[in-house]
Amino acid sequence: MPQHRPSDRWVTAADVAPLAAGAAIFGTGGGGAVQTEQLAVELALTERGPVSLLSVADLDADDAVIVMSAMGAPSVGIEMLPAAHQPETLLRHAEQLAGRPITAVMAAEIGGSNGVAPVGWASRLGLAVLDADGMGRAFPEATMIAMNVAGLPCEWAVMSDVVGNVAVLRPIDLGWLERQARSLTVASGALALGAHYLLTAATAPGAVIEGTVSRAIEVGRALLTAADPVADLAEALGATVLVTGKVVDVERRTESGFTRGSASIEGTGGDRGRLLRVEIQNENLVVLEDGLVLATVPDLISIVDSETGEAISTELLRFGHRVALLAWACDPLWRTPRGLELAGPRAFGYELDYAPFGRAVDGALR
Amino acid sequence: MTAVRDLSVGIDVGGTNTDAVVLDPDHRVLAWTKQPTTADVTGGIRSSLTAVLADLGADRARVGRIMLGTTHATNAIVRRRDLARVAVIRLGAPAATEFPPLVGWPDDLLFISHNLAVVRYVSHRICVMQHGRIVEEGETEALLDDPRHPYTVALVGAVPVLGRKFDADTAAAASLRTSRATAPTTSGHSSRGSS
Repeated sequence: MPQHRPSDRWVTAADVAPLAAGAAIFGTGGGGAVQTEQLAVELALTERGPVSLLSVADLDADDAVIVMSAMGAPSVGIEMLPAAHQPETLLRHAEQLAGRPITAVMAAEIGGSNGVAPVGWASRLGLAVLDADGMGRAFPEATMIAMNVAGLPCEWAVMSDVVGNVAVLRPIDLGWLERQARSLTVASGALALGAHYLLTAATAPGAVIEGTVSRAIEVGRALLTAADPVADLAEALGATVLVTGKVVDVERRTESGFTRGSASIEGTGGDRGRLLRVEIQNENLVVLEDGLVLATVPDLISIVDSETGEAISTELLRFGHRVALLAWACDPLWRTPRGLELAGPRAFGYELDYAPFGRAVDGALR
Repeated sequence: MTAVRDLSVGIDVGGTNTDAVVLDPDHRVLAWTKQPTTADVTGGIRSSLTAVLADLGADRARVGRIMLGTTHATNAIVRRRDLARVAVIRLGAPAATEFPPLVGWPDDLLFISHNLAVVRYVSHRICVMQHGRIVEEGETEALLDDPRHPYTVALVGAVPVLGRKFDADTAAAASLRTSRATAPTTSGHSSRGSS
């Protein structure tokens, strides 16, 4: 299919490796490992050419944007890969439900494989990509999305699994969408693709996190060309390196479609003698040291290889990994009362009050 | 008599030496040896294993598992040396069809073909599979020149030959029988890596 939507910005095949590297960092451990989707997207863009990248301000009255993502347990997603028919299936049903042609795809989350795959789906569907996403990071649940913080209703969702089942949901709210979509995903083998949230030039502004696709490419490029990867990455992100050390314990299980557990990092070099624990539910959610909370969701917590700066996703984290632990501030949208209600520490079952990351570091903790 | 099988043997094949160590359940070293790595790799493994088992004496009956670690395979791939031809069959469908077979593999390590003339040129032995089962196997020339199994006969017969009338019935029979197979095996279709 030709690219119909004019644009002065493009995602090219050469942008895919930086996009994947950046998306992995913004995945904060979750969102699925990026390596396999990077292959599929590079192949799509090499065969079909660049994909146009639209800003929210570029949207006009004829534009209709659909949010697309994979749902499931990242541990399963490493082995069970999507089928070629799924994006087409979603688009066909989304256009029927919307009653109008879809012109662009937005990533539900920029973090992890869900930040990479939509570019390949857009390429194969002949659609543009919106330079925005619904999280500015990765989150494990459908409720934790910017459009929900903004109060935008989700009228319908379509799900497609690898064997060809299609489900159309008309949820009364995002909480119900999460429950029903999660159950269908588990029934389909813990991996499904979904499309939801029809966005337009009227509804998208203020309801999405803008500029995150180009930001991920920029951070990824900074990382891939870095002389001192961890330091250069921290600078590109505006992040603090909480500790550099070795993974001494990983406890991990797949439960109700989620990867849950914790990882302990023992400091080395200048951090010798320190022991930090990272609590994980698909993503890295809380960092603890000596009973003190160093950082919590929705601020971003990423574990990277201390040599290469590459993000290590939770399902690939293992004993002996030499790592650096980075934390940086989330989008302001998540620090609003509604943002924290949906994605603060208590939304994940932690009896903790949220302390904005920048402030915590300046204050008592470091 | 039920023997307690609580000992572990670990063997590491290095570039120069092959080391073997026997551990008890408390991770105490009971025996160890260092033998030269042999060109065939297996010889060094065999001699190191023989050496530690001899050291154990009667306790050799307690060995419950042997673990082999080696970077030989990785090294062979990295250096592109001492590689044997290996077939890879991916069982993924209906999942994973977004990813063509062997996507991301280095091009110089790949050979994918459904073109029998090309297969004849590069291979020594051929295995013909139908519906996931091997129906015929043999030396390339013998198998292609004198196919025995009806499916192989149909496959070879479906190859168009210049000057010979195309036998539509044979070709249809071959493609019909392939339709349930996980990978396309009809001739004339070749993907990347083949000529």
